[in-house]
Amino acid sequence: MSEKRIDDTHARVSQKLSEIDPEIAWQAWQPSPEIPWNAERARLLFRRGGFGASPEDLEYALKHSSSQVVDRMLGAGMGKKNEEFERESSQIASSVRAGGDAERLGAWWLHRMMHSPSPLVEKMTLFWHGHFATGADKVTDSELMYAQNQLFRKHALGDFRELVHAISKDAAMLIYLDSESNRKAHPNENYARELMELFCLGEGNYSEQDVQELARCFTGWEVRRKMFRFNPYQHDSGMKSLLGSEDIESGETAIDVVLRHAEMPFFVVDKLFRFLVCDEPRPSKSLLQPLVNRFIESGYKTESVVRQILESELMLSLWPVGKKIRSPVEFAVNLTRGLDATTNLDRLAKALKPLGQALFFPPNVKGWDGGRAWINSSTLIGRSNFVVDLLGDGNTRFHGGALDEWVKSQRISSLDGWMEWLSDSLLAIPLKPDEQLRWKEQITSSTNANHWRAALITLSRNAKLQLS
Amino acid sequence: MVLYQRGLTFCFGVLCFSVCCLLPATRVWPQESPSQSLEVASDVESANPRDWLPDSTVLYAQIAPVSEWMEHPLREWLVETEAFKKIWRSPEVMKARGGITVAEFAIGYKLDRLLRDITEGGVYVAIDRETKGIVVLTKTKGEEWLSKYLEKALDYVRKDAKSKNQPEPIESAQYRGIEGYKFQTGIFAAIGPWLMITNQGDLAKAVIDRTVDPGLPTLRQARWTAIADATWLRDASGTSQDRGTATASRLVNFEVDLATVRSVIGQNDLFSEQAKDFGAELILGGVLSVLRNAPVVAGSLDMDASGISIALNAPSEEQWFAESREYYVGPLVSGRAPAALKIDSIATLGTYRNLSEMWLRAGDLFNQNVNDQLAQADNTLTTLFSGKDFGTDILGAIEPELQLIAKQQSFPEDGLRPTVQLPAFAFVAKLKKPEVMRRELKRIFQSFVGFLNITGAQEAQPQLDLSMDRVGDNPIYFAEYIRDADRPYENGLPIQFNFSPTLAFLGDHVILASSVALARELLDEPFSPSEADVSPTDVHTLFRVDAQALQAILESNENAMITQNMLEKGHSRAEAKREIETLLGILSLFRSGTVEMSFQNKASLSLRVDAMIEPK
Amino acid sequence: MKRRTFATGAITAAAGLAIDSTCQGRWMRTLASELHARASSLYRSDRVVVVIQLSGGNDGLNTVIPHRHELYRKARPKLGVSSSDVIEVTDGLGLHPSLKSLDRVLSDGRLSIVQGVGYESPNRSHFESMDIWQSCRHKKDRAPSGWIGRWISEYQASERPDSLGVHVGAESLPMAFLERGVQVPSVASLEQMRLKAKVEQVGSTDVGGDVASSLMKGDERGASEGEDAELGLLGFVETSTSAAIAASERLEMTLAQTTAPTGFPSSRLSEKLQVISRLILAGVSTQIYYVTLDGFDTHANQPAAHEALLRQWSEAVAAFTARMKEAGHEDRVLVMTFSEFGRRVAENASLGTDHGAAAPMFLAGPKLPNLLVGDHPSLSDLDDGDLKFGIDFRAVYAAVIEDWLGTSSLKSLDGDYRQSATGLQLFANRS
Repeated sequence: MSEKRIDDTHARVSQKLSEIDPEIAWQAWQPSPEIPWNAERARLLFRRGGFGASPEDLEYALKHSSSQVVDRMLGAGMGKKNEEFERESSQIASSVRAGGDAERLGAWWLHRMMHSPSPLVEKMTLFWHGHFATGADKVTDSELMYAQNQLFRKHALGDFRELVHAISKDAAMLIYLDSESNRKAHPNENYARELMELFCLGEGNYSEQDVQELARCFTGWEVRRKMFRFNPYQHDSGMKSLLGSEDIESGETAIDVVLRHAEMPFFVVDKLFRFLVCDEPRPSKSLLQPLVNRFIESGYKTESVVRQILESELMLSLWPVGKKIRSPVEFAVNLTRGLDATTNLDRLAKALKPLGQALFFPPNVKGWDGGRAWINSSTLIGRSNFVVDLLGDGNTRFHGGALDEWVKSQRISSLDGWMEWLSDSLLAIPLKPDEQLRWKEQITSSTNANHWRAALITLSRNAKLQLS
Repeated sequence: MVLYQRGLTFCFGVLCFSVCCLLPATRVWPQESPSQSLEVASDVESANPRDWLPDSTVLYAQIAPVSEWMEHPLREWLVETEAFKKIWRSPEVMKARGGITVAEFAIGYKLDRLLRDITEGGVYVAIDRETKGIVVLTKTKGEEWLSKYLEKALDYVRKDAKSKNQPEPIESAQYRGIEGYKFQTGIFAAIGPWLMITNQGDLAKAVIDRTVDPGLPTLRQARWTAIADATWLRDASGTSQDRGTATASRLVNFEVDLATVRSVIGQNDLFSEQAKDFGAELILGGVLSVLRNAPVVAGSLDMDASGISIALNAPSEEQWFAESREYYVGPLVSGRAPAALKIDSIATLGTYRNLSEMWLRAGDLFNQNVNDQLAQADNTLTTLFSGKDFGTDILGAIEPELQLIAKQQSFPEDGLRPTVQLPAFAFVAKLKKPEVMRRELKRIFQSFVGFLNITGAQEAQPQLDLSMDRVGDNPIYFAEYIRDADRPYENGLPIQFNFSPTLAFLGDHVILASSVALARELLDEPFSPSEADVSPTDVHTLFRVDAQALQAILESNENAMITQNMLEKGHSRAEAKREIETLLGILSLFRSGTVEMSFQNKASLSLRVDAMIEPK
Repeated sequence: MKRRTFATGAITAAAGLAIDSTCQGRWMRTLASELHARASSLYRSDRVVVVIQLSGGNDGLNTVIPHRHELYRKARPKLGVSSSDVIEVTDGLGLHPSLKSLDRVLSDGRLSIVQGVGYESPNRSHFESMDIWQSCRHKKDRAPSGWIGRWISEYQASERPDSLGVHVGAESLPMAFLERGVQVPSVASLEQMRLKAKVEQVGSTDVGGDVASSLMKGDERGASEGEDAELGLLGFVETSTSAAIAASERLEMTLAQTTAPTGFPSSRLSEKLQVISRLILAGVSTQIYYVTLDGFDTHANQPAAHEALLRQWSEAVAAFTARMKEAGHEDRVLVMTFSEFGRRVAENASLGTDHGAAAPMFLAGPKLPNLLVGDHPSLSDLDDGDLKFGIDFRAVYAAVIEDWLGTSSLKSLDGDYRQSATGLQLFANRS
């Protein structure tokens, strides 16, 4: 039986992805005396399926099973707490929306990521925001951005096909891709191209001819007064053929044709895999096949794939540990959640910009590339400065109090204890003994007499804090 | 001397608090230090600290005894207020109160009694330039009393240190027959019934020297303090008493050697000839001229049953105002605020400011950098005002007596309201050439609305609808935002719906308002244009704020303020709510606030801040 | 293979820094020599372009002025700059008097004025025309994409520690940088490139020491596999961290050595160029910097505003090039200035000018063979009251990309402008 498992607890023989048996990879992970359910696995689950574990999350996780944890990340059994949270969040939203500034929507969303009882929903909303990337710099109307974000949330774990249909009529998306007007005489190819290339199929799975035909299918789809509208007088009702299908009548049918393409589930599952499991290498089709099957069987429910990945042998074997670079949002929210910290959310939202991931402002329609693209001199310095600023902000509190008090409340009394706590709860890969030593040297030789802070600041310059 | 006897019956909240903080230090009097050795005991009894302080003093303040404060009618009022009760019961204060009770028990003296007795004859504070020290002199209940309790306190501190295995906490030394004690950073000494506390040994010596040797130069002889003592300045700062309210009491009197402060600070931004900051110049221009030149500034804090008043006075001379600042003080320092409009409002500001002159004199007033920015702004504004020169044609169209009003708006109870409710603002000024300018301004207003619509359309913002109406003979032009018929506005109306830009004329006056309702109200409540010409007072600037109206508008935005607090401080809703409620609670203590500035008789600048208290 | 060499080099450099950082004095010396070594090895190939965008439409005719021309005097009766005021360049052609701070650049032969630059069927909308200048495309029929963005996507190597392009300013990223898969930092202030809490970073460069060991072990967590990833993720982040800290420290060193560079006036543009000068001197390997100066839309009361803007621009450029010269970088840093259009030849009735067409571009920094490139557009042969362009702006870009940066311009400019670029002879022949 142990042969059928991927035990990566000690990272001795990290198997190559290409050598992992797909059947074993996606079977449901089961604890055993040798491979127990523990804090390290729970933390990984919270990093990938949410925005890191708060001390409270971890306490819950260790008393429950891995699949119960996933249930909870989806908000199961959180009835009253969820209600309260939604009320609080909508009040923040209404205050932020009143100002009409899209940048402040980021503060509202960060509040959700930090406090939502269903973090997996927020995580997947972030996934779709990057997948169907739309930038407020061009859309300008924060109401449309807000509406689009709610759309992502609604469909975050639902039927992918429904999401594609909905986003194809989303005003913010159409404005972003210059498809506000799409006339018979001048079909706009922008949305048609991105629908196939970036949203559903990937390059190489369609021809230029298909782009032109699909654009014709979308003629008459317009945005007027900030709302989608179909203008039958501008619809090209001539013969259209797309991806081998003939006689396509409406835009909706055309979307269905795209969604029926055999590559679609592979394209979506591959992206989910990279979002949840590892940045590199790209998974093979055979590794993805079981997930693709599940996707199709479930009626293209995103939740089914996400669940299978999170509860899989591959995930909980700890194989993915350290194989993803934290996005700036993950970096920031993991850190604050891990330290049970609250702070000025407007500043937090603004601080993400120099790190390369301003919420509601993706760099272009392709979204954030992620992986190694997150890292350069400027963003790394930014990440360290982010930690310094967070600690220096008078509004930053740890479980409502000062850092020192909070450290005491965690029953930590020595620098060693604090370093161990930080290393365990913030780092995916533990520090090696010599790294520990050097870190301690840096803390004690620091001119900052507050060693609790100094430990965090020096840690912010450690590469391991960037990995998930 | 008269002043000292009559005027020094006070205390002041903040200082009283700081005396409390000094408490551990004030229980340090040794047994073996009776100060009978003082040769001039009888003089000491009736001495004035002005004769003891060195002539290098740069700040001198007289503060009322604690008893005045304790028995002040406002104290009773304060302790009965909800906000005070809340603070009094807060965990931080409870903890401090616990500590005080322990100390009271150890010394066998109630804190408030102790403070009363220590400060019975008044409190005097001085800052000295030479020694860079600060000294506090209090006249206590009596010489005997002081030596007894000084002894008790020193004893307590020594025992306390011993019980904690700490070394001897007090150093003592004699100087000219006076025993001085050093505890932590403070130096204490008893001079007859006087208790002296300072942070500099040299300053302590300088004071003691003067108690013994009347030949040394003292504060009383310093030139600047003589100016500060001049009758006119005293009168100016004594207005509260002049008003003759029987209960008014002077809590603090202070004077500052401004020339020395300037020489220490040097030519920094505040005192530089050319302003770096447009906003600071606009608000403070004339005041800066005075601060650059005046030898002294004197101030006071008065309190009576109805409120608190802070006054600042400085001498001023006509020639101190450079020609370039005539825009601020008016020709021959004659600029006066217009008569205040009688209208219920949150705040009103009336002032004299010749904006056109300021704009055109910018070259002299500001440095190159500000001027470059102004040149660009001028170009943009002139474009915006359809080719009219901003400085000459637009700002030059109005007289320099200006009035600004802020008033809460009412929105329909049942209908849609803006999520964030802002007050309405209005600007009122007299036109120089009403016949010509009415037409011009109307046209400019129309194209301005058109401009807002075009830029608004580019930003997907709501559009304005332009209308015209008459109230009596007076035309009113206004533009209102139109609701989008298709839009449900389930989140309430956007912030723009607080505004309906309005231009109206009333006789020779022009009204620019952010809301048509406020403009109509101003037209309905006609103010006599001739009244505005004659300023009944010498006031140059008058700002009034109505705390109740301010509170009302804040309350109508309480939800928005709470969420704002959650976003800015990361608070939970409960924490945010508590903080906002405390803020509103403090505000509810006040009825109104006033800031008044005048260049009286062309010879003095006086600035008064009055806070009136909401009676229960 | 090339990659590995690079990585090892960076590690050695970082490790060297780490060891010496324990001793302040030696550290500074080592850094200085390190900087020098980098300078000599890198700078020959790493040329830099600083693009200054004058937003709003600069009045080219009152910048490079045919002051004696009868038609000029006639078109600009009120706004015309008189012959006695201009800075004479050639007979009859002068610069606006507020450009006098460019004197030294001019006399050193380090300034080129490219006259009559524009494009076919000029658009007089700020936004449209700016889009054309930044995208090098006429129609917005595709996703936004700019010439620098496309150039970066072609030349950015993933191991390069710094982005090839950097936008300096608080406004949103200019379209010129947009391109799929390209992420360019917007640096609002120098603080963004400096590690905060410096006192606390004693010895923090040590992270580099670990890189070599993690490189050795392929099976280490965080390492990834496949032929495309010789350096695992952890190794990659560690190398990048060392490079970032090293860059930040070099920056600190230049900041420490040059106490607030003298000569930089206090203006917004000057502050931005000052940031760039410090990044360049810190050895940041960015090749294209981009800044904007807004306010040139002078429809009314033009003289004072235009003069202030030109002064701001010329003083900033003069200070910047002087700083480069002082540091010995003047031959590798080029400043290129453009505006989305010039203004109409005839002044309007509000002492201003309205949106026009062709206008001059300016190059400054290295030795440049020709002060004047192209002819001043004719004042008699106008296109609906506007100056006709003689040089397509893409030819100037092409010369900069090909002859200055030594790269291909085809993808960046979405077309072949090489021939017209060669004709301009903007730069001395490269050997």
